[in-house]
Amino acid sequence: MIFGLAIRRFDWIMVAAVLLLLAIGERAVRTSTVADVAGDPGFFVRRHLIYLAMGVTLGAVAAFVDPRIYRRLFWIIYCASLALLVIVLGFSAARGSQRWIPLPFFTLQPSELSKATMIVCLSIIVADAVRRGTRGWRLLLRASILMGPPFGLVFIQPDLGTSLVYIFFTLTILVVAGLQGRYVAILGTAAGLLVILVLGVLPSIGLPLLRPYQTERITAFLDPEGGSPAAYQAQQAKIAIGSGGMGGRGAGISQTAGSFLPEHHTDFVFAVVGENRGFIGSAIVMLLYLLVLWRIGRIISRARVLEESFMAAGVFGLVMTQVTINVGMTLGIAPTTGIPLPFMTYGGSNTLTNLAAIGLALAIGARSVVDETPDATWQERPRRTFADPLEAPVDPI
Amino acid sequence: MSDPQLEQPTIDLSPPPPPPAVVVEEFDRPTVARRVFILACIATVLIVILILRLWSLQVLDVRSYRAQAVSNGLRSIDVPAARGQILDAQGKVLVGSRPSNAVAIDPTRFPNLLVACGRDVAGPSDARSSNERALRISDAVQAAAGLSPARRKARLAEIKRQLEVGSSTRAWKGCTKDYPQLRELASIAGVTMTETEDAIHRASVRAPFDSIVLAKDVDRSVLFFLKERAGQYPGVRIVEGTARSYRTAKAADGTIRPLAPHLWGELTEVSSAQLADQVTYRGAKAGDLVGQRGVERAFDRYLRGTNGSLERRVNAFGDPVGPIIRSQAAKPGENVRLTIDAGIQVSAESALRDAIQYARSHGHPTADGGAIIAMDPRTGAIRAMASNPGFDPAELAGADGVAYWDKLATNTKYSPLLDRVLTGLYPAGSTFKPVTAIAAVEARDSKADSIIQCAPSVTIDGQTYRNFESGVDEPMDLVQAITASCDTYFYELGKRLYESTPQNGSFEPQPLWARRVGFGATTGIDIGGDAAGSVPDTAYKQRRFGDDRIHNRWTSGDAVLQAIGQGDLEVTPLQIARLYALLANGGTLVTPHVGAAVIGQDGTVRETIDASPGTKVPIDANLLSIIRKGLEGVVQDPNGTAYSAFNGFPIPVAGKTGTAEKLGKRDFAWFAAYAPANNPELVVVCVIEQGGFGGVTAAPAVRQVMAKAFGINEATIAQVAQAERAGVYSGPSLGTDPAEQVQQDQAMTP
Repeated sequence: MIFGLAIRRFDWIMVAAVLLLLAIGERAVRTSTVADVAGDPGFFVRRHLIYLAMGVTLGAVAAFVDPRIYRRLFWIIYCASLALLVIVLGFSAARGSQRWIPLPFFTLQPSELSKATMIVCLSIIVADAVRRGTRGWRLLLRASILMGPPFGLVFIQPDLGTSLVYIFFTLTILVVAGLQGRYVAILGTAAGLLVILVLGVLPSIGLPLLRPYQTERITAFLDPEGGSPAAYQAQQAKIAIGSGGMGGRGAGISQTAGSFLPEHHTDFVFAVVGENRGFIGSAIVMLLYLLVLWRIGRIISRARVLEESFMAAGVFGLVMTQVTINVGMTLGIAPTTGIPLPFMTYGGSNTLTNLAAIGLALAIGARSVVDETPDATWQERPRRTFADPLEAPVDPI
Repeated sequence: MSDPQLEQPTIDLSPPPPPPAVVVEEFDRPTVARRVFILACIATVLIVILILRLWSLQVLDVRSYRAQAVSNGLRSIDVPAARGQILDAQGKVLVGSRPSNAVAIDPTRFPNLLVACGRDVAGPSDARSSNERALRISDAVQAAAGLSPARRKARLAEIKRQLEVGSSTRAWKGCTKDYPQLRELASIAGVTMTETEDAIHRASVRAPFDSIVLAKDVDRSVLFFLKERAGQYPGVRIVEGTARSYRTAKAADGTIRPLAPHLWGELTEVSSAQLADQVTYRGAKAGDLVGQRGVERAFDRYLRGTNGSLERRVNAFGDPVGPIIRSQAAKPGENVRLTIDAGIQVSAESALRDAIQYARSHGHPTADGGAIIAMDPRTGAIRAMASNPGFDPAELAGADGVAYWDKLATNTKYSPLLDRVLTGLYPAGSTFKPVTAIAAVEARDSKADSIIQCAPSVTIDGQTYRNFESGVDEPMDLVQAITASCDTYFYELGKRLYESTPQNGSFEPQPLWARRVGFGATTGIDIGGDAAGSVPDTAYKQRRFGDDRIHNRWTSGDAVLQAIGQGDLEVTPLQIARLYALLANGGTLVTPHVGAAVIGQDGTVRETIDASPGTKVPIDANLLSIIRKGLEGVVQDPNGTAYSAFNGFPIPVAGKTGTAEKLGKRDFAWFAAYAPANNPELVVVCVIEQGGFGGVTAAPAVRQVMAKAFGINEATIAQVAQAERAGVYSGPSLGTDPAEQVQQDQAMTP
């Protein structure tokens, strides 16, 4: 049955949107890195194409694999992810701040891969808890126990951005699982307190957890005229985007290709689109992301079992968080954090992770409840009842 | 198979196992759908906010951002103007420009290089180091001046952070070890790693954002090699520019020596104070190279030219990436013709070297240096000015210029940087005697035809003053006294001047006349930088000794010593030349100058540089002609002190020797002369520090210069000396060296 799916059951609209975003991202990486490596204009884009090929393959594999298999592999997935995070911490201790494990072909960033694996693990745990009727703070506690170790390991790297993404996809899963509003508020407050602790309290008692550049990025966000390199970067990103105008300046010698904007092919890749393609191009990109999110939302409510619904919710949270934080940072309304833009940013680990996540969502969608009326939107679905496989009372919500 | 009883019912009773159906779980889908709807709404709102923000940046504010982006990528690059040449009176190039290429690196392409190599020499607590730090920051501010405010701020923050890195001595050693490309580059450019690291360190201290020059004046082959492989060496710049080239001359001993090194001055970046000086540095802009001393400074406004500019697209590293958008050609500087004659200059320098050499090998081993100046007495146009020891201006302008400068500046024994013509302060000795004669006669203390006994010694106010020539005891008039350089005659004049001077210092003819003929003040020479010297008088004594009742007044001793050019009197060779020009031209105090004309690039005279006209000093014409007669006797009368030195010279010369004393040093040899005596065209003054008797050491050097200036072909002093030693010389004698005699016969006893 694993490979017995009808191809037509895949969500081809989402596939098309993602492929379009991949193409736009490839174009942005290509045009902005032409001059980066003297004598080799294709240096970055060649690597990016290899990462894309690997990512699409991984996404396709994930789309064909029945998500039920992950329950059997739960401990392997969870422990392997933790092990990688511990290994990278060892590298970090040995060679200063480092988020990567050097491999022969590319450097592996476990905190990226863990985004996908933790969505899977958390969904299974939460689904089981919901089925047993666990609610409220007990549900929050279970989720925290599972997410605590990976979150902590990423947080002390320190990779504040990625640890924030962990919090947000956890929140999304718990919201879909029916966590009451006040617990969401508690979790949100805890996150806020954590930020205050890291930025204010710990440095003042002589325990600076953040590295200087991280503190500087936050300071730069609070004081954009402050003159730090981070503020310079943010300012250059705004100039790049703003200079795009309605229709863009086209690809050529520009802010981004002229290296005025550092990180133009990684964290600030959206600025390249903004400069080259203008408002029209960047708005289309944003609408494509919105389309992807809507399609994932459709999958969430149609999933055949709870854990798959939660997995799709996790993917929704993952994409939404990364897109809003990354684009917000590029537009100067969020602090500079090292969060990639899904499907567009250059790099191996994040491309693999995000495409695997999309593959997972596709797999869930392809196995979802059959909808006899193709035109019906997911909100309008008539209520149906099914046999409860675990004979547990459904959370009435 | 083993137990059919157990197996049988299972097979029979159970329905066939169902195919693995899709498990569909019962859960409250509408509720989940509602939650998803809320999530989707949140996502939609967030994305709409981002799109609105995009609208505001890209559609509403596009103008401002696009302008910033355009200015970001456009850079105006200065095209340095070729500096004008400095020519001699005949149009020979004395100082020119030649293409010079440097290999530089862009420090921003080598991450953390400046941090690694930029460590402090001294610890952060050191006061000097905090000064240096302030200087560095101000330099950095200046260097960043052309950048946009945001970039400037970013860079300043960066440099401030770098400056906080304090460390011990030469902590930057080995700082390039992580940059293999840099090592490769250094070996291509032909510089050592130590030099490279030092250059990077200095740059990090001085101007951290500029390109760092690793090697100046690199060979063209290196240039082509690097240009061809631009891609392999990112961050490497070839800086094409010009450098000054200085005329050299081959000396008699075969060495190649730069001509008149003291005259030119250095080129460095204009300072803010200099930018405000719109006379000397007319039209200079920040960043321009301007002359700092000498001719380069005096005529900077002509020589500099106007920089052109290129506007072109660059990337963030400043590398040009597009075609030239706008360009304005540089306007080369104009050439400046000097009054200096290269031929006379060469002979003056070799004569000076020969004279010092001669003095050293003839009983005056401490003869350290000297000066020669040749000037037209009618106009003050300087034909040659030589100061020894010298230095190599090309090396000073070269890659190791700073180290070379330090070496020269700390050489206190020879002070090679000192231009002795302009700033060498010496006792005048007997060359000053004409001033005493003028003062005494003009003050009516003596007559031009007075006869005074030239005794071996005189006693004034209980002090005995001896004559230089102890064997003479006969009555002399002024002409004879000058010719024989009789000290006692002038002691008597000094005594008379002292006696007629009122004690309150209201009228002091002796210092007054010294000032009137140009002593105690700068000469107004166009290249500037000359010393004033000092003429002692009552005010001077009071200034110097304050309330010391015994010493703070003008005494007969002061008057008597000043009468023969001793005491606290300090003069420069230029002032002596001016005095003799005045005697030669009949009483006009000329303004010395070296600038003659501004010559355009097409060779036409754009502007003549007019020296200010001289001042007529009211001196009785009869007195002047008597003094001149005395000076002629010095050279032409067999009793004259320079008779033997000029024996056989075809042109009539008038002059005065001087053997000046300085406490703690051996005698300074002077000779000041003009020629032809009847119609003077050239004044030549020579002083040799601790060179002994003026008539022996200095006068032959003056003869050598005059011979060259008047086109007389004769042997140089060195050739004569060599011939004398070899016993084959048959020309005029150079005279016996009276060094031992000078030691015994002190001109005076205190």
